[in-house]
Amino acid sequence: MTMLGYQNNVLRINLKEKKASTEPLRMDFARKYIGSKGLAIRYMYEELDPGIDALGEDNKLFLTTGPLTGTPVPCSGKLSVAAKSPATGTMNDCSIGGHAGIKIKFAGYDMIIFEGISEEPCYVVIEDDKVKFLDAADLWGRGSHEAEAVLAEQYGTDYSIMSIGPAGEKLSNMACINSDYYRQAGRGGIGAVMGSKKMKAILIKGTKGVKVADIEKTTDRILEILHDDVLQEDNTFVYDAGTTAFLEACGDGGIVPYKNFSGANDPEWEKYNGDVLMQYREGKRGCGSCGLGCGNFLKIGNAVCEGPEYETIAVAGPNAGITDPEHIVKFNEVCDNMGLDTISAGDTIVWAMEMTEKGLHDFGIRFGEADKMIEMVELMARQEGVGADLCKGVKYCSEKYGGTDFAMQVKGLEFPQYEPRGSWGMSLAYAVSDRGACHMRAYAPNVEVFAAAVPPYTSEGKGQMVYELGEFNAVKFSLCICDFWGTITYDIMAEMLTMITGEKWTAEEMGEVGRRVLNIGRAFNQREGFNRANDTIPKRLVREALGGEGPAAGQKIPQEAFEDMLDQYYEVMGWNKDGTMPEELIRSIL
Amino acid sequence: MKRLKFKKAKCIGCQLCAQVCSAYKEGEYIPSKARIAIETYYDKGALKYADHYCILCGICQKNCPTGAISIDEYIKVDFDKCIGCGTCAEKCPKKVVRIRDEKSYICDTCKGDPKCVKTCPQNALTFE
Repeated sequence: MTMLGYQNNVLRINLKEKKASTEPLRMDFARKYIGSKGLAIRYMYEELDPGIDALGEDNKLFLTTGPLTGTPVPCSGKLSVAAKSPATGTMNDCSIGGHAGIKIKFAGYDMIIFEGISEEPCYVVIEDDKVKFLDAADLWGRGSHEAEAVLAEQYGTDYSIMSIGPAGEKLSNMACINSDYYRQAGRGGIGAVMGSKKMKAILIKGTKGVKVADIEKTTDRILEILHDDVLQEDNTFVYDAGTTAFLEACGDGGIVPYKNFSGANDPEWEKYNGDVLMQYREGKRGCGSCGLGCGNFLKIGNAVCEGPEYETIAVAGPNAGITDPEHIVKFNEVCDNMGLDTISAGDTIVWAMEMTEKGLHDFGIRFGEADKMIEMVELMARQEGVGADLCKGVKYCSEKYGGTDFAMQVKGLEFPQYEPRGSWGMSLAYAVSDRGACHMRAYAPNVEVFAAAVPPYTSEGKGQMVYELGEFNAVKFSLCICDFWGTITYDIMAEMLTMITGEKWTAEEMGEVGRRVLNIGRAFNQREGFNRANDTIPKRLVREALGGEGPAAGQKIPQEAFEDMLDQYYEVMGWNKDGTMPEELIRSIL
Repeated sequence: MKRLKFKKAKCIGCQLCAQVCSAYKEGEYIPSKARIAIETYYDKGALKYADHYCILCGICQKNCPTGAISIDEYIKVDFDKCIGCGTCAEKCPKKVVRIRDEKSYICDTCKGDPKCVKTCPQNALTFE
């Protein structure tokens, strides 16, 4: 069985044997999980045995596109990068922007699976049917940006390059993968999985095409959707300000974290907000097939990055007690080059700042110390001094040094920059997310804060709300559609998928796929031993009234309210009270 | 005569122009066969632009040894005369002519109604 829109082709690369082979895509999986996120998790469930070492030879790295990748469907250029996570022990799928996704598709593959461990550091060059394994001895130890620059010089700019920095080589729990310099598969130590395989970089280009049913009619309709739906005011803020706009939107709801989530809303936020940062913008860049163009390429002093995104601004700014915009950009740049996730690296540093301030352990860094924060990133990437522990994340460090109550993480993944005491649904979303504290699974602030459609400081209705948000994102990311197409609906998703694949898909089926994706992620984690006992939130949210300023100040989330939200969510999902899935439910989704 | 114009400050490098061009011209989404190739990339800490699109300069026509290329309101390639020698591609200052199966494929601005311009989400491409 084949389907239009797909290449019906998987490239499997064994790094130990230095062999590449192709095989048909499992279309039975594709019909149930579409592509990207969902398809990757289904493959992981199939191919990764329970209990494997995330940094061992049995883990695999899955790069997964979808049927819309490589077509002009707007915002469809993202790529799922997935593996078992060394940080959490759960499954982990990241979504990376740039152009790697469309280049994989044009090289003729729906998916690339990397297996085994190379004996020596290597990089892999993929051009259509050709796969080459090359020695990376000269690149190993270099920053991700430096490595990409060397490879671009050698191979030209036609290739999309994915690479890791020293943090990935040294297997840090917070190592990321970079692409096109400034795009990241950021979370859960996905870069450490690539590093464990001793693969410094992947280069991809392709000259093939994507075939669809009735291409003229399909393209005409896609262009209508692009101009009439995507390029409308609700979405185009992304071009004007990117995610810097969230600083104000989150501030209005009192959920911008301050000094390691001890409070909210820095009174000096206007020193580094979007208006300030955009003055330094030198250019705009979007992903392949984008349309909106969120990327802000900017330079302040000697600091340069594409971004900084809201998460990085918040963690390197207010959460660290720092107000210098150049510092924020520098933190972003150094984390990218070292190959560290800005969220996890930032959260761990601000936790260490609080530990030092409270006299619990002297990490040699306090709130407001910008230069030391940059030095700390380097120490963490190279695993030198206190960085040797801090690179393992706040869960590990707090278990070793204390401070677990304010170690802001779930399952070993550090908090994104949304204060849950001002958006109670976010605490549930973090707790039940398939990879620990992630804001991309169910974006509760959109409903509780930005739209103010649901009261934020209550458990009432939050199980259903977080489920619906999660179902929607799960299918959206299985179509490889970017979060910034905010006006997309199930009707549009089904219409596009029908046009591209030539098979009938309905809006109702979109919801069913989303639910299935949530369930397969949970099934993977359950097999790894996860259950309700792991669906927790840090004690700070329960015991401490939120400090600082803004409408959420003084709030905390009573334990009973949190447990009530969990009960509601499990009930909506059809899971048992202990958070496990009934066996028949697991069988029904395979 | 109207021509394609490209304003790089507006381009986000999404490549929708090439995908859509290939859809209407080649019957699949295949940028490698598109008659336009506009890409952006980072190089040495700067954002760079590669802008391969037809500017209707006529150099291909002047250099064609068989007289296969004509330009009226737009470029036409007479496949009966084209021998696929590649002179046009070699001389093209924008490097946008593609030679395939011994024939030359050149942008014809979709006969004066270019789809790439209709596609461009940020109005980086215009026809004027």
